[in-house]
Formats: sequence, structure tokens, C-alpha cells
Amino acid sequence: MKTPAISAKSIIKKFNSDFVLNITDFSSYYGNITGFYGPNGSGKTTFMKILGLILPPDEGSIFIEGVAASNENSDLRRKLSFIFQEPKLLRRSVKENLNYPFKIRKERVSPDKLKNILLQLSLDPDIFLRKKSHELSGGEKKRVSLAQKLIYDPNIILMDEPTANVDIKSIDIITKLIFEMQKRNKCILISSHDYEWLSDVAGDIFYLERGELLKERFENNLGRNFQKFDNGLFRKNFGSVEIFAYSESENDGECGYYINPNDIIISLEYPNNISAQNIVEMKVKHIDVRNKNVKVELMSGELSLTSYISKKALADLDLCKNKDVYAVFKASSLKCYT
Amino acid sequence: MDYFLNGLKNALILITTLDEETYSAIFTSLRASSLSLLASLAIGLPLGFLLGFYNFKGKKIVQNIVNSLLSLPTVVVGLFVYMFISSRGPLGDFHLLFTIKGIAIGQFFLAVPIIIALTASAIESMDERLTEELKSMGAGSLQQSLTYFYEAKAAIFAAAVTAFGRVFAEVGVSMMLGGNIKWSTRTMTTAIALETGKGEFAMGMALGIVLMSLALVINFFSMYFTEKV
Repeated sequence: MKTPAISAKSIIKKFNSDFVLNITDFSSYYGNITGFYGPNGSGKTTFMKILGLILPPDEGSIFIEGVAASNENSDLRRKLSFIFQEPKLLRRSVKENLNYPFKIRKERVSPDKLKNILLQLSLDPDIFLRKKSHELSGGEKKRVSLAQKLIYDPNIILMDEPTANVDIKSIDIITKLIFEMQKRNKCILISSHDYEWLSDVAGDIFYLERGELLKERFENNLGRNFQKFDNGLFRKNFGSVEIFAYSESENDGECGYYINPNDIIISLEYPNNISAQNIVEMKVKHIDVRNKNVKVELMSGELSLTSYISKKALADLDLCKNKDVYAVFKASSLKCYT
Repeated sequence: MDYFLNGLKNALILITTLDEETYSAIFTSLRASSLSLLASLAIGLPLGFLLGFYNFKGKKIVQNIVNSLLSLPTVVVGLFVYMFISSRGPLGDFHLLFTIKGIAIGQFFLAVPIIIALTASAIESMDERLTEELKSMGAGSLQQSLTYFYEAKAAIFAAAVTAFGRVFAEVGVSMMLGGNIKWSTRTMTTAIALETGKGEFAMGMALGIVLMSLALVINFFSMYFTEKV
């Protein structure tokens, strides 16, 4: 049986009588990107800090590669890297900041390695190596902090709100880097309140609510109990509505399914001659115009779905509350969670 | 006015001709102040770090006590140390009274609260996230402490300059514990007090000029260093 890269057992952390973080069991493996999603104050950062051996839990244990880890164990901690929401760099040059992790390990770092990590983050080494940390912008600080935490090649990378307060260019760079790390078989844990971005990046998403880890309460979670149907299709009824999921694995009938809100197309008319297996007549329940896109909540009996569309699409479709529309999505867009 | 200008002229002569008595007082002051500063840094920096870094029961009380010691009267320190190092005192066998070491011990008690209080304040004012950042990179306790000191170096340097200024300019301790012995324990400040009492303003002014010049040099150096870091 594969040993998890990182796991948490029976974690309890009390802050006051109102908030208790209570995580019974959590594991993540090498090559996985795991997301934590939830409202402010739900315990995402606290749980991440406990996993990152920065904050000791009141009860329970963290295991790194199956070995129980304590907050005082610097050797085990060196396998991890924690990228904070608001990074705090040392009041030194970028070069000295990048050198710091090696200095505490009593190792030397080659100048090429310093240059390469900055290039990976689209920072010109000729300019940035000499710059002082207080001369950097917010996005640059975040990227330098990422470079500082990744340069020593940690196996487990924890990122707290990596896309918060950064420009779109930095988000793209960070996203590419995350996938690059996944290819190198790193275990990556990300907390974010940006579900849209998180669902594009993370393979597994956990929802945290009032200190509890709820695997099955994220957006567009269609739950379990899909029945095997035909040709790799699994089916579940929501009242009179049938939803199809497609999977090549026989065992996937046991998993729950969810769909990325970006994968749901909204149509005003019933689309004929279309390959998508799921065409559901729904009503617009709520429209939320956001900075980058529009969140449309749809409802049909027991089934509610969320779709992200562009502002242009909102204008073209002239959507409003209670309008009848069709939600269209492929059976293969439904993703399995265990 | 002539009286003042003559004093100034004679002072400059004493300085430029490297008058032995004047320079003896200058070097005695520097030796005693440097010794006391080194000792107070050795003791005060770790204590200041502990006071600033950790939260413990009674921390506010300790901080209040340390802050009160900042304005400790020099003669009171002189009196207590005198009682300890005089021949009848518990440290009498070490024959420290009327020596530069004796002055340094007294000055240590003036400097150490400054080092503790200003170091604690510098460490306390540092961003709490720094500890988490250092921990996250795998820094052990000692490495974290050293990094904190390095990050707070400008404030710690300022603390050292302030402490040096306090002991370099004090009279009470040097007079009581040094005894103002010519060629031996006469410091700049005790010499100024003595010469002024005798009506010999030239040497007093010469030493005053040196004292103020040194203070200016140290402050400029301190400003330059603080800006540089």
C-alpha cells in the first residue's frame, strides 16, 4: 500500500470556545494537488499551518511519509515548504533571500540555480538578484517568496492563498509552476477561496466549514450513488432529471462526482444534434457579477448547479433571475472523487 | 568673551600638540566605556531577545522594571557598586575600586538596561510572520534567533550607540569608582569637572570638544549604518 506523503490523524486545535478545528483523517500523496476551499475563518490556513508543522495541534498527529512529525523536528520540516498568503521576506537582497534556505542547511547553492529559479518565475536575474526585498511589488514579493521556498527542492509544498492579491500575470506564472511541480511528483496542498481557479488546478478539493473537513460540500458536487448504465456511463436521478457521468474505470460507480463550473454551458434553446449527454432544463436562481466573470446559479427540482460565464455571454444571453435555460455538459466533464 | 576665546584657543593647542594629560583622560574614558559596553552587550542582547521574543507571565512587570532602570541615577549606581567592590565589600579582595575595571563595572549597570530595553523593543516590533517563515524553511531555534538579531541589526546598533553615549558622558560612576586619579582613572568627564572647579577652562574645553566630536562621529556613523541596512 502506498504511503501518503503527508497525513493528519485526529487533529484538534482550539482557539476559543467558538472555533475548534477538528480533522479526523486526511492524507495526500506524491503527484497529487489537493485543494482546500471554504469561507474566511473556516480553518483553511490553520489546518495548512498544522500540516506545515508551523502550528502545533492540541491533539492528534501529522505524519510525513508515514513518520510522526513534531514542530520541533527541523529535519522533517525541511521536506516541506510553506508559501504564505502574505510573504515576509528577509530585509536583504533577493540573492540573500534565495541563499537563506541553503545557509541554514549549511549547503552551497550554484549561481545557475539562483538564476534558473528566477527565470522560471519570469523574474530577470540580472535585475532582481541585486534588488532589496523592500523594493519589490506585491506580486514580485510573492514570486520571490515562491522561489525561496522551491529552490531547495522540497517534496511537499503547501500554498496558502497563492492567488490572493496578485496580478493575473503572476497567477498564470504560479499556475504553470504548480503543474511543473506536479510533473516532478511533488505533493502540493493549496488553500484558496477562489474555487474557479482551485478547481482548474487541484485534483481533489476539500471543503472546510467551521473547522471541519467536508469532502462532499463543494460547488457542483453531485454526490455518490451513481448507477452503472451503459458503455462506461453512470447514471443518477435528481427527481425527474437524469445526470450521466462517464468513466473508463468499472470501480468509479463507488465514487462521488462533481463538475467544474467552467464546464457547464448555458443555452437559451434546447441544443439539437449535440454530443453532450447532459442537457438539463433549469431556472436561473441567482446571478453574481464578479471581477473576472459571472457566477450563475441554476436550479431544477433537487438539482442545483453553478456555471461560470463571461460578462459578454451574460449580455448576449440577456440572463435574468427565473429565466428558463438549458445547462449543457458532457458526461466526461464529471470528475470522480473518492 | 576674551576669557571664552582664550579657553578655546588653549583647548585647540592641547588637542593639536597631543597633550599627554588630555589624551590620557580620553583613552581612559574610551577604555572604560568600551569595556562596559562589551559586557553589557554580552549580557543585554540575549536578555533583551528573551524579553522581546517570548510571552510569559509577568512580562509587563519585567518590562516596567527594565524601563525604570533606564533612568538610574549614576551616583546611586556608584554608591551600590562602591559598597560591593570597596575593601570591606564582598568583592573587596579583587581590588577593583579606583581602577578602570571598577569604573566599567559601574557603567555596565547603566548600559545594560538600555541594551535590554531597546533590544527587546526591536525584537518585539518585528513582524510575527518572520518566525513562521523561518520555521517553514526548516530553521532551528538558534538559527531563528540569529536571523532575528541580523534582521534587527540597525535597531541593535542604535541601542549600542545609545548605551555608549550614556556611559561615555556620565560623571558620577567614574568619579566615585575611579577616584579621578591622574594618569590612571581620570576620564574626560571627571577631568572636565575637576579642571572647571580649579578655574582651568582650557583643558576642560579641550576635553569637551573631544567629547562632543566623538559623539557627533558616532551619531553620523550610526545614521550611515542605519540607512545602509
